[in-house]
Amino acid sequence: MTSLGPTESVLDAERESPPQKVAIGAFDWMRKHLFSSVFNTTLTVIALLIAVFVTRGIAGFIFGDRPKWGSVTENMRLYMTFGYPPEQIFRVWLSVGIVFALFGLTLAAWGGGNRVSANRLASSVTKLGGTLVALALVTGPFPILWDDAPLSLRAEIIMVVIGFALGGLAMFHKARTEEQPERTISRTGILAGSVVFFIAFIWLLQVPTPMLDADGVYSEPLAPLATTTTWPWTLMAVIMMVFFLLGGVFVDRRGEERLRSVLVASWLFSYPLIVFVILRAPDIDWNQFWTRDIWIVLGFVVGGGLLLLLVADPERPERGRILSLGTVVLAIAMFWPLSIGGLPRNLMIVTAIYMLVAPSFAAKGAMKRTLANWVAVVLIASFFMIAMDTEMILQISKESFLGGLALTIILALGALGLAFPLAILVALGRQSRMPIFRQLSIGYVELIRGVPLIVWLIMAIGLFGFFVPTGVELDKVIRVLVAFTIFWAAYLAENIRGGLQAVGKGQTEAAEALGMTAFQTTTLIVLPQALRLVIPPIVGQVITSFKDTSLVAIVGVFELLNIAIRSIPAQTVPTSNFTFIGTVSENLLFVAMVYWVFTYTMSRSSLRLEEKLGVGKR
Amino acid sequence: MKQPGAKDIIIAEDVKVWFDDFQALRGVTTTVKEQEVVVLIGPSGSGKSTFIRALNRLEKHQAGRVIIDGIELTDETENIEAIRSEVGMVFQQFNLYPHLTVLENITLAPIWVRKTARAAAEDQAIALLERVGIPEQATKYPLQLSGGQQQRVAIARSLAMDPKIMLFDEPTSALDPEMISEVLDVMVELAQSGMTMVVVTHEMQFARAVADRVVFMDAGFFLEEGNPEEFFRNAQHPRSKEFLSHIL
Amino acid sequence: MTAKTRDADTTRVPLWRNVTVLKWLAQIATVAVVVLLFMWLFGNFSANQEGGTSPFSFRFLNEPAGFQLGEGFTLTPESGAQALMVGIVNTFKVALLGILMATLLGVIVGISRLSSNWLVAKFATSYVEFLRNIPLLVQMVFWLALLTLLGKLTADTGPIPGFLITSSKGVAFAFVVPAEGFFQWLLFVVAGIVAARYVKRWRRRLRDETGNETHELSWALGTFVAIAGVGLAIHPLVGPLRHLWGALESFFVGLPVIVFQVVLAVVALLAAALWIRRFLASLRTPAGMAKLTDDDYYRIVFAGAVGVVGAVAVFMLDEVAQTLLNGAANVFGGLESAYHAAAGWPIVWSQPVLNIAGDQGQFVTYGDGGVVFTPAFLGVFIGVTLYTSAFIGEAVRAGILSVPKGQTEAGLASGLTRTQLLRLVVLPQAFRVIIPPVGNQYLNLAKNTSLGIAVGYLEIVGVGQILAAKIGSRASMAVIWMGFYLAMSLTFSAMINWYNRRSLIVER
Repeated sequence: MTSLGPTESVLDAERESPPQKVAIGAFDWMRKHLFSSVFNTTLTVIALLIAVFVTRGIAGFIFGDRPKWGSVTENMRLYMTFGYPPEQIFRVWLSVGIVFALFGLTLAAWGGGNRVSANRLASSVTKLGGTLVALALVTGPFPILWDDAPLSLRAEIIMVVIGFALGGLAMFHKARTEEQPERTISRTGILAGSVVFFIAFIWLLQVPTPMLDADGVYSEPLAPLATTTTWPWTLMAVIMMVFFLLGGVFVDRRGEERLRSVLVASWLFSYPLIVFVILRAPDIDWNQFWTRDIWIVLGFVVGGGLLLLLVADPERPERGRILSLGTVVLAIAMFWPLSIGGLPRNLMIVTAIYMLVAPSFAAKGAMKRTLANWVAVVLIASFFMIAMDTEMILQISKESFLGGLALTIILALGALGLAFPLAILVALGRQSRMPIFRQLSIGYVELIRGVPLIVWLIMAIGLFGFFVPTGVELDKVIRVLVAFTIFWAAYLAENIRGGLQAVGKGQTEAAEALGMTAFQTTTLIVLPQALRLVIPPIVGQVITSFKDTSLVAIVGVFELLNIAIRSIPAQTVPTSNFTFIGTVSENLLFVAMVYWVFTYTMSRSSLRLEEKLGVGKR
Repeated sequence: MKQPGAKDIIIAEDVKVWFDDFQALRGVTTTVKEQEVVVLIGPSGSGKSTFIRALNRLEKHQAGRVIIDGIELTDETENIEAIRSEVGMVFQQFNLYPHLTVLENITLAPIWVRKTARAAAEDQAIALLERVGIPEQATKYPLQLSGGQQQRVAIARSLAMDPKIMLFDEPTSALDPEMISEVLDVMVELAQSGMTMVVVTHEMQFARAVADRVVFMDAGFFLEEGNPEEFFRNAQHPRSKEFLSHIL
Repeated sequence: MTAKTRDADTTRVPLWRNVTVLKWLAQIATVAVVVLLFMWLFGNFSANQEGGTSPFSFRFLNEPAGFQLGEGFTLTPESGAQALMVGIVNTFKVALLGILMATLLGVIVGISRLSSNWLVAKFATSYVEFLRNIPLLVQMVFWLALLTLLGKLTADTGPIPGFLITSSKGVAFAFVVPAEGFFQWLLFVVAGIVAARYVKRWRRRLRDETGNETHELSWALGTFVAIAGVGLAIHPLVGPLRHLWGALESFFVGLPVIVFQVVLAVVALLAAALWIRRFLASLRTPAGMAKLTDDDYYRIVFAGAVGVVGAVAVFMLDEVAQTLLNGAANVFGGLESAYHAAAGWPIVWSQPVLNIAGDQGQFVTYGDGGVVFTPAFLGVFIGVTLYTSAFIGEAVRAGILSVPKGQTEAGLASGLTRTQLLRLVVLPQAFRVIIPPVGNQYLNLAKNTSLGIAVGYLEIVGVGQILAAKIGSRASMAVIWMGFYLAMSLTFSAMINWYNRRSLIVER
């Protein structure tokens, strides 16, 4: 009855290839992906026509006669830092240097040892080459189809040659390594290659540079970038590479974890350092510092330290609670009825918060660390308070202190950073079992999210002044910063709430079963898990926030967009009839490109992060 | 015990299937008679699922012929739809429609494909639910049921089309152990009622109890087939021996 | 049992360690801080107001506007309230058109991203990545800048003179526009929709009974077209309804504000009372009254307080109540005069008209005819439409991808055709995933129209800024904006929530 099939030899034999040829030639690929049916072919033709039309339209505008690209290239400094004094520009470069150095270290700390598949790199290079060739053919002159083209024949030929060269290089690599196991390239190699490429690029790049001859005739010959641009950027690229290598050495010696914790703190610290110390250049009154401020600071260090010993005494929790409540009452009393302002009041607020939080984390063995943290907190807080409370060295008006891309970044990061703690409080309140907390949080979130951002910004500019005591003047940037903080906190709170909900009830129960207090459970168990889960949506919020900063143009703050549509189109050159009046579209295109590069990079990295964390898959 | 009929209801001739350039079926030839119960066994990746999915064109065969109840499966849409309404299929993951109630799940195809009146379709659905033992679940939604109940609804859903052939693609693999028997009971009853069945399963007890023929598949071939008694007692092919030694 | 009670009595928890007491103390303290903060803010506010120029009041709503608007159903509003209404209508106009177009584009883009056609999929991906990563405001300003590059408006501007005219003054095109008798005809349209629903239900029942194809959709559409079509000719028949509208108008004109306020206040109190009653009923166990927890007491007190505050607020805002009354009277007055129309087509084909002035005819403007879109409107419209369509496209794509492959296979295996499969199995499931995010996008689009002030479009924020500067105050305008957008958002969220609850896939 039993019938037998093929024997071992047949089973192990090579499997047949499919009847249709699958060796993917370009032709087969096109038939499969573009022309598989009549409908598909029609779609392809329509899409191709639209793509060609759009690309040629854009290229036609970019390379056409009308636009004055000089309005962009000439105003680069305006775009980046607006009214920041040119003679102080080293402060900006110093800030950028710090960011690049930290970035280099960060690359080393997170995946410095990563390797990238050479084949994947090769296929990206092939794609790049293909895109170049396609772009050149569409925008350059093409016999029969179109003679007048945005691109010159010479440029077209150069692009096609480069495109084919790139494609050929990648193909050659692929053909050579087909038989071998997959090769990889280290992150260091890729980064070094990119840095070299970047430096070569900025030194070779030629941009339209506005020129006025003796008769006041305007022209835009191509010229290399100014050395005031090329040299600093070269330096920045080198700094990043150097710190990446240094980071690698550190990781080898001490391990990734240590570098990471140092880096997180450095990133957080770099923001106030750059904004309040480097860029703002405070003119600190050393005389007053040595005669008055230093004693206040020392008083808080010692007094607070002693108080901490009492507050964090695990033997007498009741007394600790009463004492920490006392500091809160004292801090409130500073406002009213005592009306003490300045450094003492601000340090008192810091003290009150520290005393409230510290008992939950202070243990007998950790007392030394708690005290050390206290000293560091007071010193750092005092430093920034003193720095923020003094006049600037720079001789510029407050309104134009910051602007352009610098303001966009500082506004987005600053407001998000301030919004974050508020958002955590609101999110916890919304999850709370206590009805009033819940209602306050829901009311806050719904009210803020229900009304468009621009309405809040208009109110911040137009109404804010009415709600602060008479005589207090706040400049526009601070007002919109407050508005952004309040607005984004509501959105962030909803993101964080999602994370809190995702952390199972079991986690809370397990922590409570171990005898942790509600505060400890929340800060030590629930929040760390929840925040990890919400990293991708928070990156999404960062992207949205970055785009939202453009709204301040409506209320008259000079960030990127406002410079593009108000400052530059109003520029005239004295003693000539030449102006940049009417140069709106080219400026807008440039600004759009800047925004796009930033947001697209962020959204791509967030995708990669999501894959890495594996949170998207839940 | 019932005997298979005389008519060849499934004819497969040298069926080959590729996924991109991987050959999953390497030339399978067999016939299934009316009322016959065939059980396919074999290690994962051996082509069992591919084979039964080729029988109702969920996978397209690129070479060979498949003839179901006298109609050959080609690219002709009408033939495919006709055959699919004659051939019921039960999936490993149940694939019930979560947005419809149990009753709606069962009546959907009769109403839209067979153009049955709703009342008649519902009466038939209730009868089928009684047959699989869960008449009380008619108004619930699939995700409110246990896995075993869901799979029994899935069987009822297939039976609602009065199929001539039933295909089972690992119907018990996604079930908790205590639910397997409730599904197998239904399948045994179905087999005894004279349904033509092709079953991919790892339940050897089921194969022993009702199969007219057991087929061992590996590497895209039918390696050995025979009646269950003989096959389980005395498998010939070295690969089937090895497989059985792992599983029994 | 008794022993246990006594036990609890003897070891009574001290107040400062009682969880319930601490919990409420913390909450009350927080509320006190919040209240103090607001008192401080409003204290500053009224201190700054003394001698200030912008008193906080809604009186301007019923005062003559005295300024002109660039765009809207009336360019010379009679009162502040009407000016505001122009802004609101403009907001809804651009939002609704935007939603329509963005949905259309978004669905096409979402499906295209899943296309097996490589070029189409790439194209859709670029579209999405490009549009959603550039700030909406930049896009809007850019479209406006492009529109100003269009040619000057002259007597023979094209592309198709008489049908489609594009110029830096905007775009005008020929289209069907409402004419006299439109509002009478609307009644027939509504009747047609209602009738179509019933016919569809009837055909569905017939199909269920016989199993035959009954073409329910064609029947429903036919019913609608028939009733609306007949209405085109016989709409003057409902003309006598004007007496009803006239009566309603004089009712609202004659109604004293105080009566209206009393009615509103009673409604607020009744609503609170009803809520409390239902809440208590929901807590009641079959055995009788359940024990109320402290949170339950709080909710009851809170609901009562909301009712009382609402009732008091109605009496404090008599300017707003007056505006509402005037508005109702105006609507019915308008309907009354509209229903005087003689027989004629309620909708007519209309072509753009050019007004030519100046001795050489050099001053050309768009006249009354066809549909005219101003550059400001187009800037906002194109901006929000394209921007939102990218997000809608992503939602559609995610929704379609969310339907498991097994569902398709199960449908196919039971012999459903591709169309049936899509209609009965795939789309109903995809919709549940698509609708909520798309609803949110609609809300975002509506809120984003407020960016219109950057391109000079007169929606509610734009009009509000003029109002605040001319006759109103910034503070009262801010309250109106917040009220408007909050009402819109909450209505939208309620609709989305309702859909979510209704369409929730039932699980254990």
